[in-house]
Amino acid sequence: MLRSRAFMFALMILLAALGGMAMAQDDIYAGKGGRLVVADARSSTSLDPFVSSWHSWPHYAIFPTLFARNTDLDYVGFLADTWEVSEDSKSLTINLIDYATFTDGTPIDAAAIKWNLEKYANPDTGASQGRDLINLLEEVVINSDYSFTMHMNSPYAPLFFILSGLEIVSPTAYEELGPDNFGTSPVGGGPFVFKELVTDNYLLLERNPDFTWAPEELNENTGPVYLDELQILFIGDDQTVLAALETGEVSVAGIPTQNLADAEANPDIDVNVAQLNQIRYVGFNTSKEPWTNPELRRAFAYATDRQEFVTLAWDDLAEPLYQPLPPTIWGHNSELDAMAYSFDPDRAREILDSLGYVDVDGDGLRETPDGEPWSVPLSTGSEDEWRRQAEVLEAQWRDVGIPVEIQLLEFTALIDLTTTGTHDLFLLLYGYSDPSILTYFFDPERKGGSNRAWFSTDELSQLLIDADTQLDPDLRYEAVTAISQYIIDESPWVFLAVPPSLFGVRAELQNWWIHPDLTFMYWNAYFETE
Amino acid sequence: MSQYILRRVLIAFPLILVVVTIVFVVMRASLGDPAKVMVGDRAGPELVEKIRRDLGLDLPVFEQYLIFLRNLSQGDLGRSVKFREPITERIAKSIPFTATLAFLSVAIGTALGLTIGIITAVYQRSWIDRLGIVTSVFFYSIPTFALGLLLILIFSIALRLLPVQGVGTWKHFVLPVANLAVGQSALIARLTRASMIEVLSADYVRTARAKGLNQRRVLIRHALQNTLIPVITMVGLSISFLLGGAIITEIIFGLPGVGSLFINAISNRDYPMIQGVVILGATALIFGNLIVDVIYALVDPRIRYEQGS
Repeated sequence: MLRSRAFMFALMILLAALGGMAMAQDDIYAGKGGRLVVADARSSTSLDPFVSSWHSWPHYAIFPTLFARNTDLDYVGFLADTWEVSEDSKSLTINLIDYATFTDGTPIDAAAIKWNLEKYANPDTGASQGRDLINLLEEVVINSDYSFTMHMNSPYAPLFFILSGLEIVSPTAYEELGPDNFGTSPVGGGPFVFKELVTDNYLLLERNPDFTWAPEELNENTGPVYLDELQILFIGDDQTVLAALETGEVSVAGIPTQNLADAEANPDIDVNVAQLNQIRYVGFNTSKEPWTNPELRRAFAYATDRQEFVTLAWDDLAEPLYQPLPPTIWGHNSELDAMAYSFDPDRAREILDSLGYVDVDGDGLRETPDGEPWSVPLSTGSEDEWRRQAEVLEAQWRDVGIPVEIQLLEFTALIDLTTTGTHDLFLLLYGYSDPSILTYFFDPERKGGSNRAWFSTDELSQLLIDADTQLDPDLRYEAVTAISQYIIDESPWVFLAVPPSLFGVRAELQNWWIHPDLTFMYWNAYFETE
Repeated sequence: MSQYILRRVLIAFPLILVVVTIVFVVMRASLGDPAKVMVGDRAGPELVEKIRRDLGLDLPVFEQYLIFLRNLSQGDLGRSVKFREPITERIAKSIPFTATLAFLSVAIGTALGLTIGIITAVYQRSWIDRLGIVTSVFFYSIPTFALGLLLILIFSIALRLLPVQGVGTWKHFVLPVANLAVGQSALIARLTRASMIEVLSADYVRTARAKGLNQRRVLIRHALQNTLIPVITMVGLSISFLLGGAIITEIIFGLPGVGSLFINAISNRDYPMIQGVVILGATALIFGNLIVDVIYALVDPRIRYEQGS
């Protein structure tokens, strides 16, 4: 009898404890929820990661990735629990968390990851997202249900960056639905589940109730998320977006530069101003005379007042830039700024004089060394932003006697022009999150493609290979610094500015933050609900 | 009448073929490499070549044209470069929004325009007439995008009565329809007024009045029918302007219609989609005008007899 009473007592204590735990679990969700509405026209793309060439809000809400980046931009596990790089840096063994599932109920295990990686690496898939794995990934070997090893044909430093961007889809669902239907009925294992898509208007997602594997380093609550729903509106017109943000129809949206003051004056909108992981630069076609001469290219760098450039062209919202990587991309080394070719118009004039570009007819503009009229074609995009930047440069370069002829082109035509090798100077941008982007722009194999400056040397190629095959972060940082230093010295580009990122967020949204890689972190965000 | 319709339909087909050919040539001549659009510009040349082969872009242009015509004859406009979905399906999803917007705008704009036109004609040179003229000139002159933003500013931001953008409820259509209908009604009102004034001074109207018919009967039975002929012509002609306005309206109010699809396709450099929408738009315009011509012939029998002779 006594034993029975003791048992009952113990059972009651256990039930009370379990009840308490359940209540505590419920408590963190009490009064939190709501629908987060985001305006992002660029997200109007296929939801099939193997098809889309743009990967943003919808994809990373529906699909998990193997890795994520912490606030120091180091890699942390998402689906990956532990990992190990082989001594020759050509193999990566990943042990997965063993409790993640796709929303169709199938496990996110080694077999599923192998299927995904092999599909990305297959050129027949035509996936822009996995293009770096093509000719790199030799095979994926499954070690156990939740462990696999990737074997590469060479060490590849951006591998973790690539793996932190590859969305993992449910192979079962993909094979059932086929590539024609997966893009409109996607199945992943991320914090949200697909609910509804109105083509060209909005995408509606709802909370994945089983999601508990958000990276701990980035999320206080590893899941499920607090928000009930996430809606992404594909609104294209800036003024409509701003109006919708003002009325509260939209909670998060980019703000056009010209509307910053209005948004800041609105107490219902929190404005976040940061620097983008993009740069604006002028490139020279170094395969064409006279741009083969690095001294002449340096004269343009000396003639460019970046501080004035960001004031006049960007209303002081951009930051001046003196090296190929902005501070928002890992590998930027601020010490290099002191060694860069900063604004020095006298030095620019000196160089131009020494190269024979002098003002023969006394009109204030220089002629060529042959005494012929000189005109420097500067090609750029036809939109206002680009025209304004080109005009500032034209005025600055004219001050040292360089006559500039601005050519405004539709962007596709501009990119195509740079592939012909007939161009001269071009004002362009790039945006990325890994220093391997420099290989893309200075790889000798990519002349006529992305090497728009048609610039390469054996020394630079070796430096790029060194950086791209070095997996040790410290050594890689040194290698990237060496590349930046080399590009500064040779001046195939004049670095101009890091443009701003302007976000408007409704004040009612709580607990959001902006990651250093500019991702809007909302997995722990919520609206207060009754 | 059936011969007249048949003749007009037969004329429409070669016209569509000309449009299709022009669109095909312009698309091939003006845009960048669609394969690069599909895989992004960081893709290696092998991948770009593969996509080019898949899209048939490695074939001679004339062969591409013949394949394009063959597919078109089977109702296949190809696949979107951006979404890799059949274009006909995407356009089919967009049509209901544009059709609703266009139908409501034309119907409301025409009804409003006719009413204002008749009233201002009847009360010619009064303050009502002057107010009608000033208002219609104002609304006819204001650009669609400016009116759209003005409507958002007043009804969405200031009064918080209607949503800024989107779809889902009838409220979402109020501002877009008003944006298009206002310009349409202003045009119709001015035309109706001028036409009605002319008709009201005609002999048969004077005769009708002399017979002792009341004003309402004179207006509706005798004057209005003759006033309608130029109005119908103008409604037909305004369809093309309306399509242009619908593109702007859909963008401003975030309606997922054919106009939004078209603009997105341009910004995505999705050339098969641009091609598909232009062909569809041109075909709709040709058949829209055909329908107007048929209605015109029904309303005014002289048209078909003159054409026939």
